[in-house]
Amino acid sequence: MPNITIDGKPVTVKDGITIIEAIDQIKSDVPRYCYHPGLSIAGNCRICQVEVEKMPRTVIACNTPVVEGMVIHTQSQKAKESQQVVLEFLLVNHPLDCPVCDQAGECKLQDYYMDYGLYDPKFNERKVKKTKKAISIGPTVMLDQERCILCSRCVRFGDEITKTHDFGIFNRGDHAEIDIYPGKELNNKYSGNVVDICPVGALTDKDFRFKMRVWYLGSQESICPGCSRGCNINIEYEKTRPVHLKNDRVMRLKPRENQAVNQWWMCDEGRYAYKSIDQHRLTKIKEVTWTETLLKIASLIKTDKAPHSWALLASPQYTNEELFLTKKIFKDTLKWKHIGFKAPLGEGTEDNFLLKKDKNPNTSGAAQILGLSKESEGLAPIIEKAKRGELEGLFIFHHDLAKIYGDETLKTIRQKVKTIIYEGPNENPTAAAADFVLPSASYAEKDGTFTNFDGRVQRIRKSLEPLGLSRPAWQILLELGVHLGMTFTYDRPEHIFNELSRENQTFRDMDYKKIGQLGHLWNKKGNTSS
Amino acid sequence: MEPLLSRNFNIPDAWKIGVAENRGAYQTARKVITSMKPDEVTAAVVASNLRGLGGAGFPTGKKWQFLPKDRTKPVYLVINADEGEPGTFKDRYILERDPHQLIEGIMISAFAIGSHKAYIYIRGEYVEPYQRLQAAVDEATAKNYLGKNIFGSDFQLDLVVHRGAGAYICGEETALLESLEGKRGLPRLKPPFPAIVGLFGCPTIINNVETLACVPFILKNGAEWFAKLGSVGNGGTHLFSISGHVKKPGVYELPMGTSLREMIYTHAGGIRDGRALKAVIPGGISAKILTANEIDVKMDYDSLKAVDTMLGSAGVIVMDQTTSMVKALLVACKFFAHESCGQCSPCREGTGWAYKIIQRIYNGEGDLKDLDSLLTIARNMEGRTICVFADAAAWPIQSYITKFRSEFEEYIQNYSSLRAWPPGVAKQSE
Amino acid sequence: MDSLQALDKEAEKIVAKYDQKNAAVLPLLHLAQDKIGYITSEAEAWVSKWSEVPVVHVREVVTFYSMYHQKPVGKHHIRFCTTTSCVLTGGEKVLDHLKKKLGVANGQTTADGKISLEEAECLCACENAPMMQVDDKYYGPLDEKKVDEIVDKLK
Repeated sequence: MPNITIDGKPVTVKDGITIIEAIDQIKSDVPRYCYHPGLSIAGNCRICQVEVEKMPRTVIACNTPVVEGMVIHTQSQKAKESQQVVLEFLLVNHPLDCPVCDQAGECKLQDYYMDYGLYDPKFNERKVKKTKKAISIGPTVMLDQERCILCSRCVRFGDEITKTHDFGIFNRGDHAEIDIYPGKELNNKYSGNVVDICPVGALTDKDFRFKMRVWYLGSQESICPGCSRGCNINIEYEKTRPVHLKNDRVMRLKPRENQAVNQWWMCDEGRYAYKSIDQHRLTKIKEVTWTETLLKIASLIKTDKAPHSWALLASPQYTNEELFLTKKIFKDTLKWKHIGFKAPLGEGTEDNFLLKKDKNPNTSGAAQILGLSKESEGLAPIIEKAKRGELEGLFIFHHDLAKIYGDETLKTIRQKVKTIIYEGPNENPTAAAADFVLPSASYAEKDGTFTNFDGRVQRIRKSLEPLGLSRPAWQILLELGVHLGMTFTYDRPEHIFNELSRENQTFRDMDYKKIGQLGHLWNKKGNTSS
Repeated sequence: MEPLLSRNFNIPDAWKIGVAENRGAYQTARKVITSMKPDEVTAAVVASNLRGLGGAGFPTGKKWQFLPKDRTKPVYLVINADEGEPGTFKDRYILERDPHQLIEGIMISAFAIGSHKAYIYIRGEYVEPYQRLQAAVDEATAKNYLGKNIFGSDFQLDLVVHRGAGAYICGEETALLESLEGKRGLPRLKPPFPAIVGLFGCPTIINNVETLACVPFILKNGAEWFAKLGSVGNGGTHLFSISGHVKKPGVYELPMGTSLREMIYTHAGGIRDGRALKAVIPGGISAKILTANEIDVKMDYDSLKAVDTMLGSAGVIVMDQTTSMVKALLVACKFFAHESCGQCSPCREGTGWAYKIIQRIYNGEGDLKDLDSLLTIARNMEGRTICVFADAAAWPIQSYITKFRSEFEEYIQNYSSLRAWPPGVAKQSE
Repeated sequence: MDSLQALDKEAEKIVAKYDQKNAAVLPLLHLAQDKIGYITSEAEAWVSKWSEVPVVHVREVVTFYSMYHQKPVGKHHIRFCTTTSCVLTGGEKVLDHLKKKLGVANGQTTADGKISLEEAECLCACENAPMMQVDDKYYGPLDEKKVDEIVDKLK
């Protein structure tokens, strides 16, 4: 554990690290382009120059090991001069594209110029012209070779992380160009990540292209609901733009670093699935008010027959809090016999990186909280009963039966079942066929927690107000419970979680604070879901 | 002096093993491999003051001693035959005229460092030298001077000749290793150094052709003898490549420490057409230039360093009074811009930028400020890159402009685009 | 691709010389180019297969080194040196003469496809400056007359 000094501050750091890791450890900064903690060291951008006492020249922080007693200066005259000089070299052939470049506002050339540059530029020649400007290199990414500073992060990502070997640097000298192999496409399942790691606007996201300037965006931490891994994300939505665009609020999703779950990455499937937050939403109710609707429903479901003649298709898309309320209402209070939540897995892809076959964010939570027997976890028995006409009513959370079982099955069930209640955020054939539609909020519009495949309980946080008349499912369930004669002491998801933690051993000793930004493992060995 | 490295250069067919053996080839290797210990060989090379003759001048024996003592991985010997420094052609002579001398040196050196696999990386454009070299390797193999149980001992050595494909940067040790591994010739970050992590991740020694060709002589006649041939701290003789405006350009074997004046006037015949000397590059294009007043200097590593230039590859380029230093700098900057590998930003952008400025100056569109811009670019490139290519690119800029500033200023002032077009100048474009 | 398959035996021998397959990239590219005349995408795929190096990285090598041609060149390829000693000894004039004689600029091939010309950096034959390389052979010192003789002999 070497004792060193960084910018006058004495600090003890981990063994076997480099100067840049030490600087990051104390949450200080030094400019960097090619360095990325998830990729091998390239040492080619040369901008992370620091002054180390007793060394004759400035050195790059990313490849210099820390030794006992080292005295490091990141902003001394010598260090600043080296950083400035390198920045000037990098900008020599860089096109003045800021006005038309999506990276503006989150561009490391801009940022470092303001922090470490501010010099009088001396370049007075014609800039090198490269071959490709604004070319699509696949379904998700645009390439602009002139903006590239040849840091090789994208090359290393393709070689080391996805092992798809997509990018190469061709030619040499200042005619070197980043590109993919002629005739090939960048279309591995994680292609969007190269846009995240590109420090400049050489690789930009096609989906986000020209949509919004990044300084108009607000950002909120959440969890991707696309599969049971629960990659940590930031939801980025329009916040301060004076003129609002159409109806879409969410502009993009970005991965958030969590070493235990998704390192720095997310898959394309999850990344580009944000549109369901704003599009094809259920936003209206048929009756005049929520209360009228829920009163009607309450009267239908609290009959003596209901526990045998109704079935609940609960959802692994819902939060732990919502599942806890579901259990309290439908299992403990109404004592329904037919409750299920697991739909067949379908053809979801799984790999040995991030993708999971289970495309639900909270199967673990559903299993653990609802506490059903293994045979009744699945929806199949309920679907069969419904098709045979043995059920009078179906209360469906989220599942689109047409998507899972086909249009014919939905048609049959509609014919055989008298009352169908649907609760969910998006339009779909099942919602269209239902007698009662309860529009619920998307995951971006509520607080709560999911439990991933590994038993990690992670928080989703509210970024936006629920669209139209939709409400978070926990709120709907609370009011429904009240109309069923129950009393609750909570007014927000955190309270619900605290009671869950008190009642359920698996969630004991946890609260929102403990879960924090990186989640917390529950008290159970092994996985409960695939 | 008695020719040593060059003793076979003008003997017909000396590249064939029959002739070479008649003249003593492989006798020393036999003695070493059958009767000496590897450490003894290394000690001899250390004591001989042999320094790397490719350009860096690092003490050869010392480099060998960097290898780790405990050997869990195989040790490789790599021979740098990627001669590329403008003004240098001496390795080519060894490769095409006396390849067995080199092979013998490789055998002894591999024995010393405990290597059983050696690769010769020969520049791709040297096709005929490659053919001679490969033929010599085949001859040596046929006589079991390579392969298993050499000279009946338990020493074995496999030697592979590997051709480059046209990139000056592959003469840099670690870029050479990258190229040998089938990649672009991008120099590696150091540390780790090749002696610890080199070819295929294993400890590796890289030596120049001429350096290894010296080794048999050291073992034959003794380290002290070899050291005395040269000057203090720079042992042996050296093959000097002399070219440019001399009457007799060629390879000259001379003791380390011979004066530059003697080389130009006594050995290479003096300046052509009775002209006056203007400037000399002492050690390949990367070396800082010397004026006609500065040629009373000893040609060895330490003496040239003391006058702020370098022996480098000992490629002596002589320039007479008709030489335009502006043109000379243009050619130098063009070379470095074309050969930069492009890996790190100061070199990639700096060499291209400097070339554009000197082109503009040369075309008559220059400004006096441009000279200071060039010096700033050179200073900014130095010491901030992965390898010394950027420093090498900076030195001609710094030395030509500093030592011939008035010529540059006059050129700019006389030949700005508002006035006369420089005579005999074709407009340069990329 | 047929012509490449004829080289498979040779490729196998080359790969066997090296301790790691990826080291065979440069010699395999030379082998393919000697046969086809330049590096095609089929050649890149073929080298990728034998060396087990992803094809994008094979292509990086092709574009990095100046001896690999990315498009067809002439039956005879000339590399004319343009670095210091050759310039000092009058090489530029000889090069101009050669360009006019062949009717080509740097990087071009004569109309009949016989000769292509490339301006090269130092070929390390400065004692014979000004010099050029025609296919495998070095020629120098050159003047306009010698250049004519050499070129006229090329079939």
